[in-house]
Amino acid sequence: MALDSKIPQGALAEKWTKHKNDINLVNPANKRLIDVIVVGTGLAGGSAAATLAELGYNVKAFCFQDSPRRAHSIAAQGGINAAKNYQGDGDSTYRLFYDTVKGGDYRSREANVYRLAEVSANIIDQCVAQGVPFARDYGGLLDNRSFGGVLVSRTFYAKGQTGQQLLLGAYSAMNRQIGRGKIKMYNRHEMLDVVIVDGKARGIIARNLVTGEIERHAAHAVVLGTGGYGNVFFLSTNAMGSNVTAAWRAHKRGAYFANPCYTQIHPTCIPVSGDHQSKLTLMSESLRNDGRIWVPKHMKDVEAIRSGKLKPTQLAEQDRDYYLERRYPAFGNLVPRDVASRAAKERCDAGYGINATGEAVYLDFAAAIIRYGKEKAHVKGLNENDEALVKELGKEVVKAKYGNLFQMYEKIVDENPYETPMMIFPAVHYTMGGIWVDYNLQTTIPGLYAIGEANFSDHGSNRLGASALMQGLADGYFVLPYTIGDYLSHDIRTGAISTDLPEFEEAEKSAKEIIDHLINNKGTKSVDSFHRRLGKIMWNKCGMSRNEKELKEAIQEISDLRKEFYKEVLVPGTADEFNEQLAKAGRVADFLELGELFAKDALVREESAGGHFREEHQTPEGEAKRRTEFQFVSAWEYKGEPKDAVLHKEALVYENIEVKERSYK
Amino acid sequence: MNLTLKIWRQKSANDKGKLVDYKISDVSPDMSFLEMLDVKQSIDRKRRISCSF
Repeated sequence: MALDSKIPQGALAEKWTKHKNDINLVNPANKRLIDVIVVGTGLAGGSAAATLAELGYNVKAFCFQDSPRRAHSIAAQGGINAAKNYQGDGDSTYRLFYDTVKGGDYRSREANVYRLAEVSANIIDQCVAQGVPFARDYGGLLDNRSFGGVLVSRTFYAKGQTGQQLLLGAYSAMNRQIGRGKIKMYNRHEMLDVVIVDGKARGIIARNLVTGEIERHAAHAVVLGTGGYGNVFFLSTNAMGSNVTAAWRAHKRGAYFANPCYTQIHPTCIPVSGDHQSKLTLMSESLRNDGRIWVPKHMKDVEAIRSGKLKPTQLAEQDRDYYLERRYPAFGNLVPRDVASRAAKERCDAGYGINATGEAVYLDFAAAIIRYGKEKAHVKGLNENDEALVKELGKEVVKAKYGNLFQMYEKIVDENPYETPMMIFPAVHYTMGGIWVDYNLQTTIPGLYAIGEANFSDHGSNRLGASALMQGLADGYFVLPYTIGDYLSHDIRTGAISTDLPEFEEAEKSAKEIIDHLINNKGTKSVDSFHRRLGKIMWNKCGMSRNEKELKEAIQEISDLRKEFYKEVLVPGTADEFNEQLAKAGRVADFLELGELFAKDALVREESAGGHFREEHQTPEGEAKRRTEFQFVSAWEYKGEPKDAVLHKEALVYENIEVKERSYK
Repeated sequence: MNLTLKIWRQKSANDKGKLVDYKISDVSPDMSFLEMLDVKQSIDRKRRISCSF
């Protein structure tokens, strides 16, 4: 099947408006006759479910968590971008569009990104109306901060818990509709398959995670807002439950999977401490506004710090290497995430890592504390030269900005980041790749939509900070509710879809077969042991830098591991009870397939772009080197084993932005 | 560290449920509570029962 991105004709700035005017609508009386299933209730799924129900559709929403409030969107810290130009620093829709395309290393779809920038301002209004407590300045106006890869301040935030506050907004909007009976909420349900009738997505098979019962649910359209697949690396900042299963099963039914190798490794996470660890913790990128990243300049100091003989605070200024400021004077500590992560890896690979594992760098707030303290002392008419006073005042300011993050750090690492620099290291955080969608956010299966992190379209090969919340909410509140109407307008006379159709029977049978196989397998090894091994292969061979030899090895190793999994895995308990291990086994089985496709995609993409860094393709300074012949989206069609997947290419055309070398110097 | 955990086990809402003792070793002081339970899971695997907490 040829890919049709369905980008509307006309000038870039007019496309979305024109498209909205051209597409079909469903009248309010007919919306009552139409059912929509939304899987996933984070920012994308939650906002979509709430909006579709508000419009009048009958919505069934599913999440595997105990409550939509447990969706991983809740963990987003730093903020949400919007082109409001409240700071008067020259921001505009075009600039947000430009920064996003450039930040994504010219691998995202122009029309989608422009629309994202366009609706970004609406999101802030919507959320303020819901009562989301965004930070405000002294005069009561909404405040902004700056994030990586941009030269303006356009990030709206609620302390270091923006995702949580936005999710509570979407959740309240959802609950209002649950109360009205317009959303039927299915907590603790996991989607296992999408059901296709006459070529259209008409329902899902879900497992009730509490009773183990397999259920059929029908609808006129299905929306996946099921997040990303970062947990294929085992260790990531994602919640332990985050998984690829819904997306992968949809892929197996015909939805193309785009750019699986585009993964974001976030530069500021708490370093790995040992083998027992099961998850990593992010420290918001907003910290790079005020924190300076460094390692010692001299090896003897590195050794002294590692052995505990020297404290980082004792090291003189001239003996520190602020490597981001050195390499990228224009953007300094605020370079995009992929650049910052690779720079940290470069220093640590060269032996300058400052902890026992050699995989950590410093993020230092001492300079910011003094700077803020002096300003505060000046404002209050106090002695600016009183060092202790200035420090105290400065700490107060930093606490007001990042207090909860500092507290979190102290709880995990047992060091006080107000007194000594934080230790950080890159970790897997977000996946830019995902299910291929057209301009309407429809997948290659008619009637199946993918929104938020689950789709691929807006961030290219690298996402800018504070853009995930923006995209999730843009898709859910402002894009999908329009575009899905165009599709559903043909279903006003269809009537309810029956779950007795043979297609439902077949899908249920196939879901049960997978479960039966897993539960009846007489293996000896735990599910987690396979997940850990998969993660190790992914991190070592498909991580921050990749090369042909290792990618080929990874493909073979993952394929072997998958075979071993089906032979050796042990899933305790039964299928008809609450069985976490069984749910996990199904997810790991899917990760074992996705992982191989991931490596294959990375192998085929013989260039470096954003988060995808191929060692064979770099500039003499070690920067990513793109190749024009790879200016396309890789969309993979499922054909059985991942090695047999067929590549379809969607050419990326840039008419409104000049494709050039991405430089942050 | 060696610890004895007392964990509430209840198969379903209708089941009476009881506290079960688990002796676990190899617990590192750096582990979180949940990571400690991962160690416990390896015991469950040997017993072929599913974890319910």
